Amino acid sequence: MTETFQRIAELAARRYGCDRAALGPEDDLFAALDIDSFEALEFVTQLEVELGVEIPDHELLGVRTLGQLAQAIERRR
Amino acid sequence: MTMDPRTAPSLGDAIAASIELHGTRLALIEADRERENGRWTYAQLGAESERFAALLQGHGVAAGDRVAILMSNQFKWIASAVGGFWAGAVVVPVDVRQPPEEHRSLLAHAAPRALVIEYPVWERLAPVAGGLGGALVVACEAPAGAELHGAVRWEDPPSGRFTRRSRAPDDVATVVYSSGTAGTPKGCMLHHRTYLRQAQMVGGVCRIGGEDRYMSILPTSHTTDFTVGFILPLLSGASIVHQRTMRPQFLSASMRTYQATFTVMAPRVLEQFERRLRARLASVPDWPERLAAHRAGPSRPGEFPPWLDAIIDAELGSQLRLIMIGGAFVERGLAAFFHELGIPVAVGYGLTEAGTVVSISDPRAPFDGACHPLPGIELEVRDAADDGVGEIWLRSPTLMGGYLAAPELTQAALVDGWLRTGDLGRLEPDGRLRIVGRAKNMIVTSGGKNVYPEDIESHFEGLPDCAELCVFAENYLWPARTMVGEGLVAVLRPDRGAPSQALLDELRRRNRELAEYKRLRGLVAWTRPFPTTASHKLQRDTLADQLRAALDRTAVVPIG
Repeated sequence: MTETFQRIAELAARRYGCDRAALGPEDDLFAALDIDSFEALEFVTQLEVELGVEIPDHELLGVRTLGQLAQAIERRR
Repeated sequence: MTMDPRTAPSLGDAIAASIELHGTRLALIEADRERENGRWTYAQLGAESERFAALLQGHGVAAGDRVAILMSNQFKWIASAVGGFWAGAVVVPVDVRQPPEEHRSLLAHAAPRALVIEYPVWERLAPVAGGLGGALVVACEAPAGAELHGAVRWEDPPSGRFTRRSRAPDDVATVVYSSGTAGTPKGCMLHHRTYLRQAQMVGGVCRIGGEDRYMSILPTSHTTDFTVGFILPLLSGASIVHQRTMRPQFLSASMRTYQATFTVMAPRVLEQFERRLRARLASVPDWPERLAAHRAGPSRPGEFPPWLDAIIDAELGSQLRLIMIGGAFVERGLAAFFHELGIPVAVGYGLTEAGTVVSISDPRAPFDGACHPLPGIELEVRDAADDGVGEIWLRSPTLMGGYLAAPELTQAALVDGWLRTGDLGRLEPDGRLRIVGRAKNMIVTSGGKNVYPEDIESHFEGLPDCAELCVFAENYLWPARTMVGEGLVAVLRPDRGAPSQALLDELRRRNRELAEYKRLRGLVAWTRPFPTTASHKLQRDTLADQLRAALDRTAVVPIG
């Protein structure tokens, strides 16, 4: 598991009150955090601020899992 | 002599006339998050559109050719569309938020002569595009030295001269897909007169003028934003603001920064604004009483008390005078919240097939579920039940000419000059239209997307231990008098007995792969073979009848 994934899991656990240890890279972003696509966009914006990156919307198309989100962020770091 | 945009024969002519009238006025601002990428006057938009039309013509694009646009909201979207109209082309707006495979199948159906596309989208599409039938590909914003996969650059100087091609009111202006990629793409062919009439009809009701600033929130490829947020402002001398990201906090910031006066949102987005406003109102626990006291006092209509003014300004800006809700239906409570605050919300009902907007509710009155038909729209309720509810048929000078390359679908939708909407409703004694449900097998999501069950069945092909599977809109199987919270259900016939764990696991896994708005809500297990025609084609309606006769909604098991 990458450092980016670890950070995402920490921030997600804090923001949505879920169990940090239960989150894995294969987990569906929406199902694991129980959020819709708007909330996901807001969460991504928070991640951008915390991690100092900016991801254009089109690079988030097709992102379904926490691991894919970590990859999308890493491509921009 | 300057032509009047309102009496021009075609969209290209009308926009040219408006550019001549409003040359120095601001046409468009393009923002990306908190940055402003640029702003263009009407004259500058005209010059860029002309340059792009010359580029198309230099590559052989002729009048009547289709030009597809696959971009997020930005200035080049608008300049490409206007340039396309001026080259006499038929513009095909495509939703950028689809996966490459869906873009490919939709473009295969549209068969455009040219495709205008953002480079990052092209980079993903090119490997699977399969040549696009030799279409010219124009990519914008490609980095220097990038592999263009056969595309030319949007920014390149044109090789030829520009000749404006005129079009007649009855020529096709656009092909707008109202659904579908896998099964039955429905490309509505809309005429120039459709848009000219819609601009008059909607502009008259919403009183859009040169001082207005439209905040574009829906993608402009969406029929409502195309009509209300592109054509209408440009024919009115108003300005358009494009924000390249769809993230709520930046939309809100742009509305404030650019002092938007009107906008069109999907209900989902309005819900986001409700959430944000309520969070701010939490610091004013007795706000309903304070607001009522303010209204009872000597305030002028439309004037907010200072504490509320600050809250609304922080989320929506201080100049907003109209939010139109399009694309899907609205919970009354949501509209009521904005009405209580004094923010005018007009709920629109429409269909791409009808030219986009059919009826709009009165923004000054609380929304009671009924909308005023626009002038020129004739409505009929056919096969009405005792309560007056039946299927809505409509006739209007704005109706589509038919679906592109789909004569059977066209025949089913257009009968003797009337459009069969597939929606259920009734006419109120005062002439207003109340839509109460759907007679057709589809859903409209709260994000404003049409989803046809046929389109997602292919995603569930080859499930383990499953003999047959069919997807229905739940409210089509069991008619419901509601337009909100619609869902999809899969009817499946296991190889034997009850669905196996492997089948359920795989169904869940594939369901999660789908975009959120396309996901199945539940499943129904069925043991009888599905009815088919002699050629083994599924008889969907017969299966629906069998299901209705044997089961009700309680048979649906949530997928989770």
